[in-house]
Amino acid sequence: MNLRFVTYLAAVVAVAIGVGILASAGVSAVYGDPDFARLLISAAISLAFAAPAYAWSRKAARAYVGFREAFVGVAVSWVVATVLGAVPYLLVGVFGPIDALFESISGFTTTGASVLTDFAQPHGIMFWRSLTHWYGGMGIVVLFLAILPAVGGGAIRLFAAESPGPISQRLTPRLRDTARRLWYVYVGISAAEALILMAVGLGPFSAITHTFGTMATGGFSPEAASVGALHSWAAELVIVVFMVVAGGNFALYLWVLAGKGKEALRDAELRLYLGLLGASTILVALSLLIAGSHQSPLHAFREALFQVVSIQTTTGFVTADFDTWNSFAKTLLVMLMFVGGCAGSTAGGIKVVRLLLLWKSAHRALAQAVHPRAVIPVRVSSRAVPDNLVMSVLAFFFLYVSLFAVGTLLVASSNVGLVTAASAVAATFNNVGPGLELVGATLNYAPIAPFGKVVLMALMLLGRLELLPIMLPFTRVFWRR
Amino acid sequence: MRTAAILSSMYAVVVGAGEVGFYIATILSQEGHEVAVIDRDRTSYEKAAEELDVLAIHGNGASPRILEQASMGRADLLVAVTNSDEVNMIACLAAKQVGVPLTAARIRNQDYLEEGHVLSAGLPGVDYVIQPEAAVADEVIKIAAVPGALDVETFAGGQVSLVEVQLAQGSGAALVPLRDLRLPSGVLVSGVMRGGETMVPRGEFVLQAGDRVFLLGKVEATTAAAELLSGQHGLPRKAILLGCGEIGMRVALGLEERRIGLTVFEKDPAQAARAADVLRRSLVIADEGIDERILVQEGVPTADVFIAATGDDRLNILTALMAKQLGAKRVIAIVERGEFSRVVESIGVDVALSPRRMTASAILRFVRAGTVLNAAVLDKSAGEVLEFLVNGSSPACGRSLAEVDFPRGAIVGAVVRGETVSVPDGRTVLEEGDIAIVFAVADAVHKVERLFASRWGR
Repeated sequence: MNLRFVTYLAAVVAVAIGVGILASAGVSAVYGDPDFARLLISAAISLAFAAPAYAWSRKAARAYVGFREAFVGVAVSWVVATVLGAVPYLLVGVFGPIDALFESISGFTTTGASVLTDFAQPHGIMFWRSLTHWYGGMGIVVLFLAILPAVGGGAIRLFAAESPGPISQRLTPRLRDTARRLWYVYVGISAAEALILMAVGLGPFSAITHTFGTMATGGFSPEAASVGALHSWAAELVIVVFMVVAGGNFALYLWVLAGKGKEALRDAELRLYLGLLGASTILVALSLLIAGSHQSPLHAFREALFQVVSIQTTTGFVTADFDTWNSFAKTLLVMLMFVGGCAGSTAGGIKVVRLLLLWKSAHRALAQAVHPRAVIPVRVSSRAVPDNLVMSVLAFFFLYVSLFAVGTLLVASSNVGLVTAASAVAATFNNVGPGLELVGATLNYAPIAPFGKVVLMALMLLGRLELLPIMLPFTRVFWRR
Repeated sequence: MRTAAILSSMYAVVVGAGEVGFYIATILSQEGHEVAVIDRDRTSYEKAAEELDVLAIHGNGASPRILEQASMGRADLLVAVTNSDEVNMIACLAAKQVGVPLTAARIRNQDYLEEGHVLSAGLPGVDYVIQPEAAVADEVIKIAAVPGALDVETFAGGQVSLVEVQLAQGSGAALVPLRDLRLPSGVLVSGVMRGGETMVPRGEFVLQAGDRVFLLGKVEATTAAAELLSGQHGLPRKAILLGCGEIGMRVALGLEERRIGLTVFEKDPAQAARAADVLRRSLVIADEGIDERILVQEGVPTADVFIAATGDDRLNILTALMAKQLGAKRVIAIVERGEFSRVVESIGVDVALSPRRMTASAILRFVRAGTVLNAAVLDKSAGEVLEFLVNGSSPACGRSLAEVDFPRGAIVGAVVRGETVSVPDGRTVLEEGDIAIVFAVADAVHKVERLFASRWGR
């Protein structure tokens, strides 16, 4: 394996982190907050880490990227980002080491599971907390691909190792152009959301941090009561719309820009994604009315819509304490956590397209029980999917369910109750944020024991990188030559 | 419309991802161009999709649906190098129809190109035809005709040449620094490759036996210098050729034209008879040429050049090694698979030429014609030799070479002004309209291109 290339990747990521912390220090300076100097030192630490690593490794910039380099490179980059991203929390004195790492990893993986109890923090550090979401949303390695001169060969592997979904679409001949366009779209939509939020009355700081949380489907809010604290109909609606956008496939937005809007609308995954959001909203709203917890249909619909969209897109903003809702609504929300958004979005979860493939291959198995020799292709958007891809999705699903079970077992070992343990694992593994009971919508992850936090941190990373980059280096077959 | 300048980024569509197509796509994408690769074969397609930074498309490169997928309408160049001549021609035609300005195709079958044939005036839709056999035969002839040469490239319409030679054991040139080395006037040691690394030597540099030396200058002067350094004196007089097929026959005719004594081995009696009929001055022997006794008897130990050009890679490599062992001064093997050429050269074959690689470099040369008049990529990516028409507004123009900020790994080896060729020094001032031939190691190529680029536009 080419260690130099892995180091190079990590060095560049460290620079990006340093620049981000520097920007946060800038915000701190604007508000004249006391955390300015400590943020500057944090940024310096990132850059000081980057400099020697870069000097040693820059010759590998155009190295060939094999499977090992891609997976290990992405995994190492994310670990480096997490550790360097935790430094500001430590220096500003918000958290101890474990909590700082937890908050950092929760930010980059766009989970939004927080251990923050005291929200009266300076602006700089709160800005950094939200910015980690925004970095992690489109992906720090994709950012690297967009900015730097092309790597040698096999760059598509790096891209695929970080991007969500079973297939990574190349939209332009040069991968760098694809990465750039994705970032342009990401930046463009983010800017639009921030401006609209300001237009409906939010202050710039609130608008920007909530935009970071929305577009990355993260969920960190500078308010203890999340989006509910804004008490604004309009802001809620704007955030709902942009959560739906962030959970959709960004490649489709590029199609729309290229004038192929009609084809984008025919995408089977997009249709199922929107259908699930709509149907779940109606079901939850009805259950709230029937259970009698909500009197007015409008009130029920408003809360159901926000919670359903926030949970299925794995954002994790809340406007209502869904932990107090009826069992049907709670169960449906937890199931939606596993569904997640579309491939090529910033969302977590299993992804709608995988479920579509699973459903179709199950249907094929049933049909073949009756017609054993039937040849039935698995189609998505009227295109046949190769069988090896179907098999890999089946394997992914098995691993996903197994990890959920093992994770729940491990978290339950610190004696927190089944619902808390299972929902905490579901909410972190799927990069959602809030769970049920002890980790419910109005509470947070501070009471979980340190061991449980470490388990959840690993799960967040596994979920965001879709298992492979984290799991493969621990297998023997990965290292066999 | 030959505007595909090397500096600007262009969009190239390569049809066929076999060895030739894959290699062309690799080089173009490394140079920062946008590239799409189309192949019907699933394995070739997957290899391109995984290994290269290109848009890989699975399908037939001549079908309208696939062309649409590759956005052929905005392509600047189409390269058709599938195994089938017919598919290559149709792909070019289809590309022309949607307005691709430049097309190149590999055509193997002579029947399409022979005089008198309906297509001989140039194939419709194809701007540039590359025949691998002809290309590799030309290369063999060029190399065979220069004493001791391992590679020969010509520039400025044949006035300037680059010759690569290996410094002979015990050569006097290894004793003194370059500045004290007496070489014929009009030639410059522009590059030296030692231990796999290429550098541009300074005056105090001392050569070692075994170094590969790149000589750049006037054609006669480089030939004389090649003689001096390689220790192989006089023009080659005796050549032995194994195999008289498509490539062999062309080589034989070319060598006869240069009055080099030739012995040809051809195992197929009918083919041998045909060769004997065409080749008037050569000796044709109807034998496979593997038997050591026959090889010795026919003079391999005293041959200046031994060329193995049968259709069988393994046979070519092994007989070339055998000839080298028997004492032939230089051995050249035709090795179809380019992947082999590096290792073949490392085990003792002086020159291994691959028709596939030749095809790829010929097409790349064609593609790059723009601000660069001509560019030769040297073996094993040692570097490049670039030929520039000096533009009045480029940074390299109007100042003495010492003042121009040349990168360490590059040197102007020859300047052609009108009819005269000269080797420049630090005081030379380039003028508009001069042709400058520059040797550059791989890392320095881009900087050199910038020095010669016009300041306005790209």
